[in-house]
Amino acid sequence: MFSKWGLSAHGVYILLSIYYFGVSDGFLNMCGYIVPESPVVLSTGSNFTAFCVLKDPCPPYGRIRAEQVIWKTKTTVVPKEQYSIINETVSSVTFRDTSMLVSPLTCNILLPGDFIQNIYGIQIQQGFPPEKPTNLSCIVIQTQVTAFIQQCSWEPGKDTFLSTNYSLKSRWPNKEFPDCIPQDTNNSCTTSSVVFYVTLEVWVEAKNELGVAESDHIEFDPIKYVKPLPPHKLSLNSGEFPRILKLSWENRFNESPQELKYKIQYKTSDSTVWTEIPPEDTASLRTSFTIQELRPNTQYTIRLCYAVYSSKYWSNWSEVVGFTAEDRPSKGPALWRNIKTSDSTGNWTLRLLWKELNPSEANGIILKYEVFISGRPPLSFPTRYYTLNTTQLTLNVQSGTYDVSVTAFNKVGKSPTSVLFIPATDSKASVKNVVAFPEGGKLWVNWTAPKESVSKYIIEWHEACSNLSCTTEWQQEPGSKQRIFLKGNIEPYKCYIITVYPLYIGGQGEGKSTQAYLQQGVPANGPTVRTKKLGKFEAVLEWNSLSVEEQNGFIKNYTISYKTVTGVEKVVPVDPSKTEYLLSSLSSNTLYMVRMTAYTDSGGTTGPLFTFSTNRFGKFCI
Amino acid sequence: MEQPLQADLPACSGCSRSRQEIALEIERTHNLTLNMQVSSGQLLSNYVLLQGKPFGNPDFNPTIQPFPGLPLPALSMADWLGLTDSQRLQQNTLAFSSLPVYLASVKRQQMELNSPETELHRQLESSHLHCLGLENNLKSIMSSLGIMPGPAISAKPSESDNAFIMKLTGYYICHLFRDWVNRCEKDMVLLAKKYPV
Repeated sequence: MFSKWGLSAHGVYILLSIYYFGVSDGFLNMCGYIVPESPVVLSTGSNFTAFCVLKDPCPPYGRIRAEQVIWKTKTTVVPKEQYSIINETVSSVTFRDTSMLVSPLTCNILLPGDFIQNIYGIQIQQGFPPEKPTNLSCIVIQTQVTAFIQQCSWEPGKDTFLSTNYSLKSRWPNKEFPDCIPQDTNNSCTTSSVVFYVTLEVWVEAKNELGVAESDHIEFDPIKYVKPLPPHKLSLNSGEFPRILKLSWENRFNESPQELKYKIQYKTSDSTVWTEIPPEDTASLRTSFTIQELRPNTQYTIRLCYAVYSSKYWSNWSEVVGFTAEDRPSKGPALWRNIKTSDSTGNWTLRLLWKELNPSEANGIILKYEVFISGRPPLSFPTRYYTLNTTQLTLNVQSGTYDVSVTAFNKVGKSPTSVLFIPATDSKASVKNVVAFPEGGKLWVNWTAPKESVSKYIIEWHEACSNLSCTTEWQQEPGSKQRIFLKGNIEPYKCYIITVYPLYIGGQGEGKSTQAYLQQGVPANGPTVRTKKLGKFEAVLEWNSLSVEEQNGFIKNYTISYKTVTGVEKVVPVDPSKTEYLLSSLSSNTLYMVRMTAYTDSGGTTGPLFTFSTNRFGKFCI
Repeated sequence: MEQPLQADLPACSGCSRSRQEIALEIERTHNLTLNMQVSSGQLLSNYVLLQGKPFGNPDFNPTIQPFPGLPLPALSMADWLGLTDSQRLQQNTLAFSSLPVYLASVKRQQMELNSPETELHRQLESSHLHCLGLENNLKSIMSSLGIMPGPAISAKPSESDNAFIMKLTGYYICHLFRDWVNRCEKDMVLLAKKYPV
């Protein structure tokens, strides 16, 4: 039974050198050995028996017996209940569950004087047999025009805690391919031998000292799992056509038959939303595609990827940027006027204003504007023509009725002409109920339309400011609108005066105005109060209204707070339209402290403290 | 609408594959021959280019010699049309079973005669593998159609150690490879018409 125990002295020496447990007087060379020999690989949780075979006698200790054997796992003595004496020179130890067995396992003997001497030790590794690898899948990746790699991956299952070899096996019925051995991983392997249109059988084998496991076998045609290199040499050409772009490219997957399908997506370069060409339009081999219904003079980003028709893997995207050609402007500029009447002559300073077209209307670079103006009888004002590259024209003219037209030009052509009828007086119906209010961070304007059909509205606005230097802005809206928001840089805490003008074919209504804040704040300052008159029992206080720049909102009301040095403060509300107030029932010859607060919807701000004394004598009757 | 051609063989009664599966296998094999047409043409061009004179001469056009298991693929139109599906498949299978042996032999010789030409070696290796793949597909179709393999003829690569003979033999093999791929492609087109997907 023990015929295979023979060990070379050299092997034992190495082992004992490794397991030298602090014994100062050296080893008991060749005094015994353990069966099984190192390395022992055990399935975690299994049972295990080891035998220590003693060499008897063993100089210099003379006779040694199995009864003297003490087993240790690392430095812990194994309980004697686990020992068995096989014969005089063989002791065994049994572990019912190896999960608690700590390597190394050593055989030792107890010598006189309770001295424990190590005889032999073995290294024990524990782990699990490999689990069946699962989820095996493969992809064929094109690395160069004529080179492909096949990458297969799988889930190896739980850690075996042992050295476990994985090999990816593949075959045709008439050929076994060399195993693919993963490098530095246990869950994928890459080969470079790829033949399309032939079904390949692939599986994974996992093997360690405790067992072998094999994944399910999968069969696939590599052409159905190929991921090609992305297309390259992309170019875009619009030619003279403003609404198309021809995308050209080179395919890099040249394996015949080239059954390719494409995805083409495009977007304007400032957008994040891609539009995709319907797949049925790009489902066959090609090296160009013309994208239609684009906007003129617009930068587009176009991306392209492709796949083998039967494959589920798409190449990476390739991207290209290009411009569509210019087209003539699609719309005339919005047109308005500003009139200042001279006090002395009654003549007008007529400023004609028009808006730059936005890019989607300009369809190119606007090179010039052509302006025509003519006066209607009784004016003697023959048509004048101007070519400008600015967006306003100021003329000193007699007051009267005028027709104005403006046309924008780019290099392709001209826009439709915008016309403005300037009547001598705004005699047509006005809008009603103009209100403005903030909503969603914008300043909205609502109005009630006149009964007559309005062709368009002009909404003018400017900041209310005391020095009249605030610039007026305007926007044009279709005649169907009755609710718009102001398109401009509208700031909080500033009061805007907004006017709505209805324009008719052959006339204009008078502008109707309202005032609004985008956001109200507390006033920047409180009113500075002072006495206007003083009496024995009364005082008239006066103050200046806050300037519009100080208000930061609509002033709802004022309060006046006043008290004597020792008295209780009294507060009286004051209408915001007032600029003076009579304090009565005061004590004579008494010092009063007074201050005033102005309130908006957002809160109040108090002005400086002011003191006054009532008169000792009733000099004045207020 | 064009009627599908009548197959001269019933689908194998004991086989588990449906007619549709057989048709797909034939289509796939046809695709493989299309794929190999390109590579076999490239192999022949590259081979001729690298053998030196007289192989690259415009008038170099020796009569192609057949080999055991690798007959000449060319047939008259009448003879070709007179073949049955079984005969076509058996002839192709014989040729593509023999070609890997011959191509392997050419590769060994070229590694000796033109050792730096790694691209040629790669092409020969790839062609060898493709022939095995095509043989595999052809046998699969035959099995599905219940066609027995034809008589086996062992390939016998040339043992000559004369460099010119080796080059000429290699030329014949590369030529026959390309010609058999072209022949097989035509045969597969004919078969695919009888088994439309």
